[in-house]
Amino acid sequence: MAGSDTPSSVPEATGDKYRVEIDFPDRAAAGRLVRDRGLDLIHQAPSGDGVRATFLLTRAEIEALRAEGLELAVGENASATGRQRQEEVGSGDRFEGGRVVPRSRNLAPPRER
Amino acid sequence: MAYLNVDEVSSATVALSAAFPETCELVTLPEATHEGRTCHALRIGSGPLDDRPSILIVGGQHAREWGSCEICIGAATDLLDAHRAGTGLVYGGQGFDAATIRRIVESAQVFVFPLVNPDGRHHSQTEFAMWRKNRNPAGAVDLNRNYDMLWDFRTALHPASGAAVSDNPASDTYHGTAPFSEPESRNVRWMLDTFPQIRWCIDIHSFGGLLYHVWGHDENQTSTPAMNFLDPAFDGRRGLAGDAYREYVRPEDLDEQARLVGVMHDALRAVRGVSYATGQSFELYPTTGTLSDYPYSRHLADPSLPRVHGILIEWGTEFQPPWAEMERIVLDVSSSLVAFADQALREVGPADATAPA
Repeated sequence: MAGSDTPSSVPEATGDKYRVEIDFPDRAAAGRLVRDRGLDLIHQAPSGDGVRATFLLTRAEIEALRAEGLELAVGENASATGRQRQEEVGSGDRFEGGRVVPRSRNLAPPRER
Repeated sequence: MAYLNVDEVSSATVALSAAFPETCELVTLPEATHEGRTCHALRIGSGPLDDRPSILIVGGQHAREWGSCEICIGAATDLLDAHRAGTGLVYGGQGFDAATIRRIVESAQVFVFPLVNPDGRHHSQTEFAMWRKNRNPAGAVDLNRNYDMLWDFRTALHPASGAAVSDNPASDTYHGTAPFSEPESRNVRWMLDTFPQIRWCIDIHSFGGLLYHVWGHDENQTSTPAMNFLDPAFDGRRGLAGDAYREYVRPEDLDEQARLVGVMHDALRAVRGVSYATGQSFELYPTTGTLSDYPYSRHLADPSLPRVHGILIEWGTEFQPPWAEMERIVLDVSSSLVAFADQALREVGPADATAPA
């Protein structure tokens, strides 16, 4: 992956998936790629006269599509970002097996009751 | 605060049922997951189980879409706490008064199944963050392609449909070896079978900022009932936009679903100005075997079953936003869920639900 594809501060690992956008003239063209390759399509939306599909692709998948002449916009390494987010997952059990109760922080103040 | 791990989703669910016995009941799902985990749901509603109109809210089918569980737990906590306190709820610029909360909890039942796929979530949170499927050791399955609604996509769909579904076990959208081949999807079916009071099913996913109703496999039409997913004469023709085949929806059902997603949209946008797109789920890309379509298909395949409207939420712009942003998304979507419940009760009318206080 070229340096511009991946922030240098984010370490890569084998099998990482990158967020990739591809523009297609229509949904059918995007659909053919999905059908033929079984790619991880995560979003699709109208864009200009066509559609913009967002995939999560490995380096191997990206290189294979580029070799066929497809224009890809390679974004973040979603797997690497995910590893950073794993640090934001709770450890242990804040609810102690059911003994500590979650509390709402969205109750209307007394004047609105 | 931080994202909930798998143990915490379970503990929070158990804790809520224990702390609010007058308005909340723990539902233990019958089938353990492939890795042996037991799943729980909540029934929110005052008093014992009865025939009040009911909503099923489902989260955590797709492992990497972590925040769906937080939305479920957050919304359940808000309803229970506000009802006991006799107060309303405030989500940014959107407020719900105490009478609305009381009406939802006392005139309806809200089933919340926050984590369908705990094995996958655990794998995503501790190993491969972008993991989507369950953890079936014989071939992991995309649970949201495993429901019995056009599951056999190769027969049902046009070859050029480009549907996001696969029969390749290596694919992220592998649909499994058969409809309901997985214990996790069978648990969801059990909820629908066991609680026929359920009239609406909301399936929470990420991402895209979308609020969708049926159908997911083709464009909707309201004029030709005979053109429908049950007729094999249309096999191989479904899944293309702009062609002659479109899937039938009863017009009054489509109107109700459109009203509901419209109310959700407005309540969500009022929180902090974020606007989600609304429409039918086919607008995202063609799908089969999904939970957003399966509940509504049931009464068409078997007229003895109740009609259940299916709604799909795709929150946010990434699967795992920073926790600070996820907290804001929880408020956005919780607002839409409370508004949905309020509107759903209005849809059934005073014969089925008490009028607002």
